[in-house]
This record gives sequence, structure tokens and C-alpha cells, in this order.
Amino acid sequence: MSAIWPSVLLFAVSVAALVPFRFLGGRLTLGFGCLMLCFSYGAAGASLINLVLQRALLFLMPADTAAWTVGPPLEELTKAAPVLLLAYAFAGARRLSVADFALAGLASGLGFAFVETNLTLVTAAHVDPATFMPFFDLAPLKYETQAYYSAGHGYWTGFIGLGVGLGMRMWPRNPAKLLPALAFAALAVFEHAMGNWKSVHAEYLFGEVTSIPAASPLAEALYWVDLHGLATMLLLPLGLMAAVIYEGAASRASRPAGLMLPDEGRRPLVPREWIALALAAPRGRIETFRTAAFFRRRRESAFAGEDAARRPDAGPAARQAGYLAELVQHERRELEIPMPARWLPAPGEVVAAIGMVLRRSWMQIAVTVLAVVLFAIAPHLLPEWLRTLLFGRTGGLVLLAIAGALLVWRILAFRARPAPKADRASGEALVSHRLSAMLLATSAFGVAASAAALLLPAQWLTAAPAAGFIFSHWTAWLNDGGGPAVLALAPLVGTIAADPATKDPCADLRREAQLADQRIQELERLAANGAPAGTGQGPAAGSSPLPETDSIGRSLGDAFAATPLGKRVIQVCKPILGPHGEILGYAMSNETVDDAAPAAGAAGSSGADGSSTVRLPGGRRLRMGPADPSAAQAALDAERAQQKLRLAALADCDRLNAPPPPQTRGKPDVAALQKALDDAKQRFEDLEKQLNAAVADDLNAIGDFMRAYDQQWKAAIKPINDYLDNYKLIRPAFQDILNQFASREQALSYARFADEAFRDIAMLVAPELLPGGALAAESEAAVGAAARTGQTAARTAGAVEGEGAVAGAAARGAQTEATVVREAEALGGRGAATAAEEGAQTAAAQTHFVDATGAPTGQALLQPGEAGQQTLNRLMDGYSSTQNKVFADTVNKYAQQMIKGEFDWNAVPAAERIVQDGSVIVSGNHRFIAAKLASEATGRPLLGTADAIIPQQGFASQDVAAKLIGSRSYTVRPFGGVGVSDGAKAPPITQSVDPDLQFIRDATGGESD
Amino acid sequence: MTDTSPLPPPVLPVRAGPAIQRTPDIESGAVGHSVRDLLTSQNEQLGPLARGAVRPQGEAAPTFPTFDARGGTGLRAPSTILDRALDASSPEAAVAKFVGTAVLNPATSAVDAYKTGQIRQAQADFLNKYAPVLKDMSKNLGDAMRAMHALGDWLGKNQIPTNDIRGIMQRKAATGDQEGRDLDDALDSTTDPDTRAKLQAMKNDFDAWKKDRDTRVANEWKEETDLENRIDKMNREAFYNQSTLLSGAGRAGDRPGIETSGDQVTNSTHQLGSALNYAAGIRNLLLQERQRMVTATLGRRP
Repeated sequence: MSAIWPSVLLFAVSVAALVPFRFLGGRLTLGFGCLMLCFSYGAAGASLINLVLQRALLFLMPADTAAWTVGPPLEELTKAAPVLLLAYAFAGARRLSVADFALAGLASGLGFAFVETNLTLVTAAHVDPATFMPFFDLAPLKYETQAYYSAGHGYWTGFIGLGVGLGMRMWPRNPAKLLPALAFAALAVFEHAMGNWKSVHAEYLFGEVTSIPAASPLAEALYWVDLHGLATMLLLPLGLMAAVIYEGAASRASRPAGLMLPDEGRRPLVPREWIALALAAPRGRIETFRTAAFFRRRRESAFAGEDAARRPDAGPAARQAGYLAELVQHERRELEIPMPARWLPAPGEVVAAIGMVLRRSWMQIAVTVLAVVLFAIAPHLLPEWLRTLLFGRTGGLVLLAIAGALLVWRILAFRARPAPKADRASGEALVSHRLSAMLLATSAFGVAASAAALLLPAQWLTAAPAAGFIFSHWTAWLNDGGGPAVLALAPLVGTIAADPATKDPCADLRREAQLADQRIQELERLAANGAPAGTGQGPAAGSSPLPETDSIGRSLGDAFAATPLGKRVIQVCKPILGPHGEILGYAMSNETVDDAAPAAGAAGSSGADGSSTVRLPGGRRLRMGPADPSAAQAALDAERAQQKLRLAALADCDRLNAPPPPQTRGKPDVAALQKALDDAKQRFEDLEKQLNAAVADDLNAIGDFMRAYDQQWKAAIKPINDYLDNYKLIRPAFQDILNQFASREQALSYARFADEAFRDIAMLVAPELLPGGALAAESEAAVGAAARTGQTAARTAGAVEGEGAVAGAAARGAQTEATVVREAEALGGRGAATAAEEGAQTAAAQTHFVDATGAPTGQALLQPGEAGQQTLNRLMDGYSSTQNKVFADTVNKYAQQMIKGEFDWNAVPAAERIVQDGSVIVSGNHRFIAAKLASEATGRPLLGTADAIIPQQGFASQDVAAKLIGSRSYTVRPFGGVGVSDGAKAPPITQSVDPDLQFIRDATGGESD
Repeated sequence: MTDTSPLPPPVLPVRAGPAIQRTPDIESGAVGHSVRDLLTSQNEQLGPLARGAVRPQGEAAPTFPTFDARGGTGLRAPSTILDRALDASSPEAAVAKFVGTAVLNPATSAVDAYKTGQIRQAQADFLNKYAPVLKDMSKNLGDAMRAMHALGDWLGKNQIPTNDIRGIMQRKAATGDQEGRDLDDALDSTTDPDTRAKLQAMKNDFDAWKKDRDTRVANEWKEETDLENRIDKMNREAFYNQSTLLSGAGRAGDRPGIETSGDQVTNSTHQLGSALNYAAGIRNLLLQERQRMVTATLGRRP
């Protein structure tokens, strides 16, 4: 095993190098499979073609010269062949993004770099870690202050791809599209050539560089501008990001209605797509991959739509865009259909899944094993007999025969399959087809080249070593004991990679639909008969759709599926616990579920209540009681509903991915076409009816939901309202108790003072009453009395300390309680919006008081407190109020405005005007009191005349008044019981209510003042 | 000068197909009007209730304050300084402390005894007079908690279905695309001028229909999106609402209550300001939840 790890690691690193660029090129429309086809071409096609061409060139010039003259352009041209094919000989080129071209080039270059590097890697005495950086060489050729970088095959070809892509995006139908491609290719080839030149001409002594000569001044100047090979390393990622941003900005103009995923915003954005993809990951493999495919199709559809919009003759481009729009809409619908949320097959399906993979991929696996033996192990490490067998002529001919036979078979299979049409296939299907054809063609070349290599004399296969040239790597490998037979690997790999059996895009959906059919059968049985005994331990007899295998294999498979990745991931609502275990809230969390464990929420109850877990086809589980088929019936109904959607989507998927019908050049059936068009129109109207019915059902469902919610909600709020009403009943009595506590505290403070005075007097008088020494002791007594008074006070204070603290707390409590109650009462006794009241008191209006003539009086009309209450009692005699207090500043402000004739009665909303129910002022208390004050101050009548203080529009209409009187419950009290508070009335709470509720507010009446 | 170039083939009249009755489209604004009518007619109380609710600050989930009765209930009979003087290690010490306190603090002792007696009487009167109310309040609170739990439970089990309106819209938007492509294929592959003319006429007619289809679909997309957004927001709100209510109803051991001895209420915490805050907080939570649900129904983010 140790012999093959460098090659395996190199391969892994080469493929992994695509990943960061996959992220940078966020707007890719091609999947990883297409990129791997490019990689295969670079490894099996471009490398062999270069070996042959370079061998031919070495007849004309020395290897040292070829390495930096013709070698680089030839290598870059052959590596970039897939990019050029997709750009300039492909009908769907304008559906590809810049990143597609860049990554296709990068993948091809990495494939080439893998083969070239591996040829020397396996034969090297020691492995240099820098070798594993095939795309980003950070170990430059260095001597003293000189440093020359080599971006590597992947970067160079990726850079050319970037140029090709930019040209295609900016000038898709103009020859100018070639300019960026040529410019970028020139830079890549120049860097490649200069890198090779420096490597070839550098002088070494015992492996150490002793000098690096300079090239011509012009070349050196250009190389300096190129940052000695760093330019492409910097420009490729930067250019890729710029292209992604440019394409994103261009396509954001279109609004793909109905194509956005939840929480994805209104328009596609790559980072949001990544987030959506990351969120899809917990929902399993199928969900993740189909979401990624949907994003790729959506981008491709946007590009196709842009292309069609740019073209005046909409024909083929419009058809492509139309097909893609339909396809992407289908894929969006398909995302609504739930699929198994797991990454590995369900227990019971693992063995079958592994068997299916082996059956489908046995040839790929066999060729991989062969490639490892022939190419990943240094020839000198193999036993002599094996080396002779593998690399000798006999082995070579056998390999060649296999490669040839496989190639013929694959070409026949390829030709038998109808080629996808640009207006009936996704870009990935088209690109796969093109690249497969290219791989088969290069494999044919490979077979011929391998045959020639087996026949040619050995000396023709080698040349003098020269750095930076694939032929020199090949020579090193031959010198290690390898032989030309290994060349037959290239057509073998190329042929295998060009697998004509493309994956069925509807396979997952089809399989899930089949499993659902079996689930439905099983559920029908369970709904009829109840849960079978012992079903918790495995699938019900006859319910599994999978072929039974031997028990060891099954056990292994089940163990495999029981890994964290193999477990089912579900979303559960879990409480968020605080530091002391209190529940702070709830949040959704992803949890893996052990298939063998009982259902969530029933842990530990398995068997105790007779219920059991029934395993259904596809890894689903159902928890049901032995005599309770209702769970099975509910699951059956849900499954049937989902199956309807699944089958509709499957039919759509099959229709959209069906191969195009063979082209007939005869006379079309016009009548049949007309009928199809008429049917389509009728179908549209039928769908319109369906839509009308569905929308009506939805609205009814919203209505039913809200009505039921309303009923439940009222059931919750009514007892709370009752509670608060009861609170109002008990509160005054409790307030009396609190007041008594406060009163006791005050009385005790007086009593303590009296006691201290009593004690002081006693201490002063007592010595004089004693026989003798009364006068002599006078001064001492004064001092001593002071000290004793202090001690006594301290003792007294200590004696009552505990009680004092309790009483003080009660007094403070009384004040706090009183504040709370006042605030609550200000809000109608419900204390619902204390926050809204904050600050309102300080926002009292600045009022300049005037008399009836407008002369300033400096006197407020209504004073807060007792004085105001007396005014109110006098002024509003005979009236009652629904308020428990009014605000003096507000009344005064209104009154002054009314005296000056500045009060705008029309500005009062219709729903908030004065409502009078007999003698009760239901709404508009502040305005009514203010009007009375103004009437008194000016002598104008209160109402009923043209110059009355309250005009007709000051009162609410009958409808509003009736609604308010009828719908609100209020407590009526005489104005003598209404307090007058300092400050201004709090702003209406409605200001903090969503403006969208305004219409409800208008319809149901406003807040009274 | 005469034009000798051949005339283009005449465009044949399109064969009249079966009469297709046009189904009325979903009217613009129909969803909004319908929901507004529902909200307006559903509940007269909704307006005042919605007014009473304070909009929650930021995105924080609505909640209510914890109940805290650590400051005392105000209904425990207080002790006088003479009572405390009697708390001694021996009867002699108690007598000495009692006499000493009474002699040294005569006014304090007398006032304290008098006032404390009044308080004790008031407390006893309170508990006697309001025992039924206090019991009722405990029941109110229990009922409210049970109803909150039931509401949360109900919300967890009830979601509003969309009836696949998006799918129907998408199918509508794509209806005729395949037939259009087939027609284009037929046109591409036909060389006979008569047939081409017929096909071209069919194409012109069908293109006009597709244009009308796109216009109709574009108008209805707005309504579909509006409706789906409302349902989505309501379902989300129901989920969050459910969590809030269940966690609120599940908060145990921190609510106001009473202590009883037989039928007699011996202590209570319902009368405290903290109890008022607690109940008002629950009410506000319910109002906020209701307001959020109404806002969600209006298609806005609560």
C-alpha cells in the first residue's frame, strides 16, 4: 500500500483543487460530473496526444529547445480543447457561464498535471511535498534574489478558459469574442514557456541551483511585467470573482417568479444559494443534490433567457429558453416533494444499494484497479516477472485488445443513443454528450498511438531529458522499468469515462414513487388489520421491496447505515433552557434518529403501552398501537396525498427528459397539431378553474383557522380579564392594609421621639432629685446625659430595628403598589401598556394661559390635585365619567385653544369624537371638560348654537357612538370621584400598533380621551 | 416598373377550433380584500384589543414577567416589639425584657401594640371578606394557563394548507410550451409551402394566445404570491405562537396563589403589585400574539 499512496494523494489533491474554484466560480451551470469528464480528458487524452506530438517534434529539434518553444503552446492547446469545443462548436455555449469555461479548463489542466506529475512521482527516490501542489506552485525556482513562479497546468488552462468565457459573455455573436481568449492564452503560454526556459537553463550542482541565466531583454521585460509567473495566479481567482459578480448583476434584472426558495429573497444571489444548500444538507443526500441541480438549472435558464431576449430572430434561442424555463419550473415543483432525509441508504437497503453500485460500475472499478497497478506503483518496485508481463509486448497487446474492444462497444452504444437536442435538453446533458464524444475520439487516437508504441523500436520512445516537458517525464518513467503498454491505459480510461449510460434524472423520484406504492400497500394492510406483533424489530413480512441477501452482508450493511451519516435527520422543537433550568423559549433543532429506536416522544414506552414501531419500505417508520389503526389510516392518507404529487412530478420529469422524437422530413399532421394546441388552451382554462377552487379553499382555510384561533384565544384571555377585574376589587382593601403599615411606621417614629424625650428628661431631672451633689453634678450630668441619650436611642433603635425594617418595607411597598395601581388604572385597569406611558408625563404641553380677551392670565384653569378636583366637581356637576382621572395639562391646553378659537375639531378622527350616553361622557372627557372651562371663561354657550364651544362635528356620529357604547364595558363614576393628575395625557397607544391595523381601528372605534 | 418577384403564399385562415370558455381569472387584490373582510367582520373586539397591545420591541419573542413574592405578602400578622421581647431563653428573662422594653419605651410599645392590632384586624377582615374572590382569582389563573396550553397545543396541530396553488400556477405558466415547440419543429421540418402557410397561421394564432396567457399568469402570480406569503407567515406565526404559549403555560411554581386551611384562606399573593404585573403581562402576551397573528394574516412580517 505504501507504494501507491503518493499517486492516490496526488489524485485526491488534483481533484480537491477544483473545490475552491467551484466556490469562487459561484455561478456554475455544470455539475461535478461534467468537470470530471474534462479532468479525464486532460489525463487520458491531452497527455497522450502531447506525448505523440512531442515525440514527433523531437525528430526536428532538441528536447531542450522543444521544451520552451513548441511544447508550451502544444500543451496549452490540447489541454484547452474541451473549452474550445464548448465555446465555439456547441449550440448551448451561451447557456454556460464564464465560470463553466474557466473550471472546464482548470479540470482539464489538472488532469494533465496529474499524469505528468505522477510519471516522475512514482519513480522519485523521495517525495517532495511541493509536488502535491499541481495547480499552485509556491516553491519557485530561486537563486539569490531571483524567484520564478510556475502557476501550473491547471491554472494556465483555467486562465485560458476564463478568457474564452469572458469573450463569450461580452460579445457572444461577434468575432471580438476571440480577443480575450487569445490575450489570455498568450499570457498563459508565455508564462509556461518562460517557466520551462528558466528550468531548462538553470544550472545545478548537487541538486542546488547555482545560476539562472537571463533570456532576451524583451522576454525578461515582459516576464517582469508578468511578475515572474505570478500574474495568472492572481488574475484567475480575481477574474473569476469579477465574472461571477458581473453575471450576477446582469441576471438580477430578471425576477424568476415562483422559482425562489423560502428565505432566499426575491432574486438569486450566490451566497444565499450556498446558505440554502447548507440548510438542505440536513434533509439528506437527495435533497442536497437536487437543490444544487435546481440552482444550476435556474442559472442556465436565466442565461438562455437573456440570450433569447438579445436575439431578434428568437427561433432556436427562444426554444432553448422556453424548454429550460419549463424544466426549471418542474425542478422547483419537485423540490416541494419530500424525499428520504438521509445521506446513506436506510437499513435494509444498504446491501442492495452497494450491489447496484457494483453492477453499474464494475467496469470503472476494474479499470481503476488496473490503473493503480500499472500507473501508481513504480515499475522498479514490481517483481521482474510481473513487470515483464505488464509492460512487455504481450501484456501491452492484451491491454490494447481490451481497450479496442471496449472502445468499439462504447462507440456503438454511443451512436445508438439519440443525441440530445439543444432545445430539449439541459446544458449538462448536452455538455456530457459532447465531452463523451470527445473522449471517445481521443480514445480512438489513443488506441492507435498505443499500437504504434508497441510496434516501434524502444529507442524511439525516449529522448534526452529536459525539464518542464511531459515527454521528459515519460522518459524518466520508461527508464525506471516501465513500458509502452501503459499507454493503453489512456484509451481505457477515456472510454470508461465516456459512459453512454447517462444517469436517469428522474431516478430518485421514480424510486421514491415505487417505495411509496409499497408503503401504501403496507399501510392499507395495517389500517385494516392493526400492527403486527413484534414489528418493532424489523420490517413487516413481505413489506420490503429490496432483494434479500445473505445475513452477514445484511448485517454489515445495516451497521454501515447506523453510522451518524446513515441515520435519519429530523427537525424537532426543543426547549431552550436557561442557566437554572428554566425554559427561555423553543427552537428547531436537527437531530439524528436511530432507526431502531422508538419514535420521538415515545422513548421508553416501547412495549409498555403495547404500541410498536412498524418499519415501512424506504426506511420510514410508523408508531402505532396494536388495536389502533388510526395512526396507520392517517399515515395512509398523507402518503396517498404525497404520492399524487410524486406521480404528477414523475410524469412531468419523464416528459421533459424524454429523448427527442426522430426527425421526420415528411408532411406534418396539421390536424393533430391543431388539436394539440386546442387541448393546451382547454387545459389552461381547466387549470384556471383548479386555481380558483384552490384559492377559495385557501381563503376558507384561513377563515376557519382564524375563527377557531379566535375562539381558543378568547378562552385564554377571558380568565385573565376576570382575574384583573377581581384584582381591582381586592386592591383598595389591600391598599388600606398597606396604608396602615405606613401609618404605624409614622406613629412609631413619633412615639420613639417621645420615648427619647422622656428618657432624656428623666436622666436630667433624676440627679437633682437625689440628695446632695445635684449642682456639683450638673456639668457632668449634661455630658453624661448626652452620651446616655445616644446609647438609649441606639438601644431603642435596635429594639425596633426589625419591625422598623418590616414596616419601612411595607411602606415602600405601599408606595410602589400605589404607583403600579395608578399606572394600571391609567390604562383602564389592565396595565397593558405601561411602557407607552413612560415619558408622556414629561411631555406636557407648553401652555400660555389667556383670558377671554386673549390677555395673558398666567393662571391655569384646572389645577392638578385637590384644587382641580374641586373645580371639576363644580364644573361637571350632573355629569358622570368613564375615566378615573384626567390630566390637567391636556385639559388646560385644549381649553386655551378653545378660548382662542384655535381648537381644530375637524382634526379629531371620526372614531374618536365625543360620545355622550345620557349624562355619561363615554369618550372625549378631556375635550368636554376643556369646553366647559372655555364656556365659563368666555361666556359662550357650550353647544347647540353657531358660536358654541363644541360644534356639531365635535360629537361622534350615531353609528360610532352606538358601536362604542354597545361594544365597550366601562365603569361610570361621578366627576367628584375623578382625579386630576399633573402632566399631559399619554399619547394614544395606537401609535405603537402596526399601521396595518388602522383599518380595524377605524372600523371598530377609537380610543377615547 | 413591374415587380416580377413571386408573391408570398397566402396566409390561410385558422381553422376554428372548439369554443373554449374562458374561466374568470383571480382578480387583482382579491386575496387582500377577502382577508381584510374576514378580519374586519370576524371580531368586534379585535380593534380595541389590538390597540391595547404594545408592539414588541425588536424581534424578541413576547413573554411575561416572572412573579416574585419575596418582599412578603402584606397579610402575615406583624409582631410588636413587646411580642419580640417575650422571645427569650427563660421566663425570667422574658419578664425582664418585657418590663424593660415597656418601661424604657412606653410610648413606642403602646403605639405599636395599638397600630399592630389594627393591622391584624384589617388583615383578618381582608382574608375573610375576599376569600371567595381570592379563590376565584386562583381559578382564573389556572383556567388561563390551561387555555394557553390548549391554544398552544391547537396551534401545533393546525396548519393552513396551500392546496398546491404554486404548482397550479407553474403548470399554467408552462401550458402550451411543449405544443409551441412541436409547432416550431413542424415548421422547421416542412418544405411544402401550403403546409408551411397553414402552420405559420397556427403559430401566429398560438403566439397571440401565449402572449395573452403570459399576461394572465403574470397578474395572477401577484395574487398567488400574496396568498402563499400570508399562509406561510401565518403558519410560521402559529409555530412561534405555539412555542411561546406552551413555554408560558409550562412555567410552574412562580404564579400568584393562596394558602388555605380548610375553607379558610390564610394567606394570599394575588393582592400584590407583582401579581398585577404578572397577570397584565400574560394578558399583554396574549394580545401581542393575537396582534402578530393578525399582522401575519395581513401578509406582513409580525
